[in-house]
Amino acid sequence: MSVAESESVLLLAEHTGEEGGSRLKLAFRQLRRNPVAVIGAALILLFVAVAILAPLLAPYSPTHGDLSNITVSHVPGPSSKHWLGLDLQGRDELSRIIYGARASLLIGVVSLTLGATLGMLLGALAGGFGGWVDSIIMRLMDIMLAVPGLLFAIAVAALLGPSLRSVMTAIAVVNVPVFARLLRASMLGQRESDYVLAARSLGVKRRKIIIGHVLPNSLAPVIVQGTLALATAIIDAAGLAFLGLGSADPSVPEWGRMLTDTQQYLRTAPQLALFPGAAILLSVLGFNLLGDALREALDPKLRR
Amino acid sequence: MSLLEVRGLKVHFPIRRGIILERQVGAVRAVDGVDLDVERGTTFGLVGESGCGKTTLGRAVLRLVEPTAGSITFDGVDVSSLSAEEMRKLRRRMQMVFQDPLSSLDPRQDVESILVEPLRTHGVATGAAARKRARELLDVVGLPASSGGRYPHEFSGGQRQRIGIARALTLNPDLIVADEPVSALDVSIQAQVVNLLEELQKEFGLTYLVIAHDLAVVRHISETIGVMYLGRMVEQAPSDDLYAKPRHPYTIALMSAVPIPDPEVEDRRERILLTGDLPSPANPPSGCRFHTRCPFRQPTRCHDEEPVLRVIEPAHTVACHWAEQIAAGEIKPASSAVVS
Repeated sequence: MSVAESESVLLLAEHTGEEGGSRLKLAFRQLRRNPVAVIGAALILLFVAVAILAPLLAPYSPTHGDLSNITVSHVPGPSSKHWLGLDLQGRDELSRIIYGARASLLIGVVSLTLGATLGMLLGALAGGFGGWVDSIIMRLMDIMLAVPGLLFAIAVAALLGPSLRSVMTAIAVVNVPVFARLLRASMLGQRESDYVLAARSLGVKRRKIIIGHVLPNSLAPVIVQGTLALATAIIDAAGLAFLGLGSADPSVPEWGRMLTDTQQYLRTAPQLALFPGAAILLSVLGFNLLGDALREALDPKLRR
Repeated sequence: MSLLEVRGLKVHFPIRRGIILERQVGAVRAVDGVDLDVERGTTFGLVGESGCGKTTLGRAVLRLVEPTAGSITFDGVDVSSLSAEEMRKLRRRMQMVFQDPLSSLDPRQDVESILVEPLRTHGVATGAAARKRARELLDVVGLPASSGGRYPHEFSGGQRQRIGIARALTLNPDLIVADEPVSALDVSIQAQVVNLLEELQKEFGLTYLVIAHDLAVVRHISETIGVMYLGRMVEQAPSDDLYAKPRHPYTIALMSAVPIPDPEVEDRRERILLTGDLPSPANPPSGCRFHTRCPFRQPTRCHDEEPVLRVIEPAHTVACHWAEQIAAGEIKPASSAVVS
C-alpha cells in the first residue's frame, strides 16, 4: 500500500496550514473575514445593546415631556441639551428612540421565535412524511401566503385589538408559511441526495434518516431566512404601529408610532420623521447584511 | 448457485399527468426485462451509455427503487418479496459504492461517524468497539487513522471514494454494487481505486456488480460483462471473450471506439460511428430496440421482430438476429457509418 501511504503523507501536509473543522466552523471563519458580515453584526450588536441598556443610555425619561417650548410652528431641533431635539409633546427624542429599540427587538425576537418554530414544525412534518400530510399542510400554507403579508398581519392584529401581544402574534402568523415552505423545499431537495440513498442502502431507518441527515442539512436556508425575517418583522412592527395597531398605551415609545405622530408636522419638524426612520433603517440593514453574508457563507455554491 | 440471480427484472417509472386527478399516461421503461447472474467471489461488469438503465438496474437489485416485475434472488432469498423491515436487515449483506463520493457522504458527518453509523444501525458494535472498527477500516482502505475526525470536504476525490468504500465494507457484506465507482475521479486516481477494489475482493471474498461506461475499467476488473442498451441486455460474455469477439452490433460499435495502444494497429482501426441519440425509453422502437441506430440493420426483420437473448457460444449470449452472419462477414456495416 505504498501509494496509499504516500497519499496519506500528502493529506497530512495539506492540513498543517489550515485547521480543519465542520462546515459550520468553516462558514464562521469565512464570516469573520467578510466586512459586510462584520458591519451587519456590529449594527445588530448596537441595536441589541441599546435595547437592553436603554435605562442606562437614555439621558431623559421617554414618557415625560415639557410642553413649554413647543408651539405649532416651532419644535426645537437638535441642541447640546437634547441631541436629537424634542418631540411634539416636548419629550427627548433621543431617549424615545433608545427606548423604542426595546419594542422593536421584543416584537422581532418573540414573533420570529414563535413563527419560525411553528413554521419549521409544519415544514418538517410536510417534508418528512410527504404524501397527504404534505398536501394538507402545504395547501394550508398556500392559502395563508395568498394574502399579502402586511395585510394579513393587519387583519390578525385588528382582530386581536391593539396591543404588543397582538402585533407579535400577527407577525408570527405571517412568518409561519414562509418558514414551513422553505424548510419543506430544502428537505425535499436533500431527500433526493446521494447520501440519503447511501443511508438507505446501509439500512438506516427512515425516521433516523430524516432526523439525523435530512433535517440538519436542510437548516442553512432557514437560518438565513431567520435573520432576514427579523428585519421584516421590525419593518412590519413599525408598519402596524404606524397604522395604530401597536401598543395600547400611546406613551410607550415605538418607532413606527413616532413616524405616525409626526406626519402632520413634517414641514415644521422634519427631523422627527428622519430619526425614527434612520433607527428602523439601521437595525433592518444590520440584519439584512448579516443575512446576505450568512447565505454566502453557508451556500457552498457561492463560496469563492 | 449464484450469489445474485436476476430474472425478468423490469423497472418502469410511471409518467403522470394532471394536478388533482392524477392519471398515468405512460411509463419510462428504464429496465425492461433483464436477466443476470453474478457468481460468488466474481465481478460482473455492466456497461452501456448514459440512460440505458444500468444505474436503475443496480439500484433495483438493492431495492433502492422498487422493481415493477421480475425477481431478484440473493443467496437463495427472493429479495423482491421481503417486507421493508426484513429488507432493511438484509442490507447488511449487500452494499453500494456511489459515483460521486462527495455527494454520497453527509457533509455534516465526520468520517468516524460515517463509518460507525452502519454498525450502530444494525447493532453490530457501539462505542469504543465501533470506533476501533472504524479505524481498522480506514487502514484497510489506505487512509491514515487520524482521518476519523475530519469531514468529507477536507479530502481529495480519491480519498473520499476510499471513505465510501470503507463505509460499504463496515458490515462485511457479500455483495457490493459499485455504480461508476471511478468515473468521477482523475485518471491517475482511477487506477488506485480500481486496484483497491481488487485487493479488497481477494481479501474479503467480495462479489461485485460494477456499473460503468468506461470499457477499459470494466474489462480490467470483471470476469463477466453485460452490455445494456435501452433497458435491455444485448450481449453477455466472459470479459476476454467479449473484447476479442464482440457479436452484437452495439458492442462492436462500442469496441471500435476504444483506441488501441499500438500505432500500426491503431492506424488501421476502423471506427463505426453510431448516429442519432438514444431513443426515449418511454417509447422504445419496435422490433430490435437498436435498429434505429444499427449500422448492420437488415430490412423488415430488425424492425418487426424483437430478438431474444440467445446463446451463440458457451457462456456468450447475444440479442441479435444476424449475429452469426455479421461475425462471418456476410453482413457489412453501412459504409456511411464506417470511419477509418
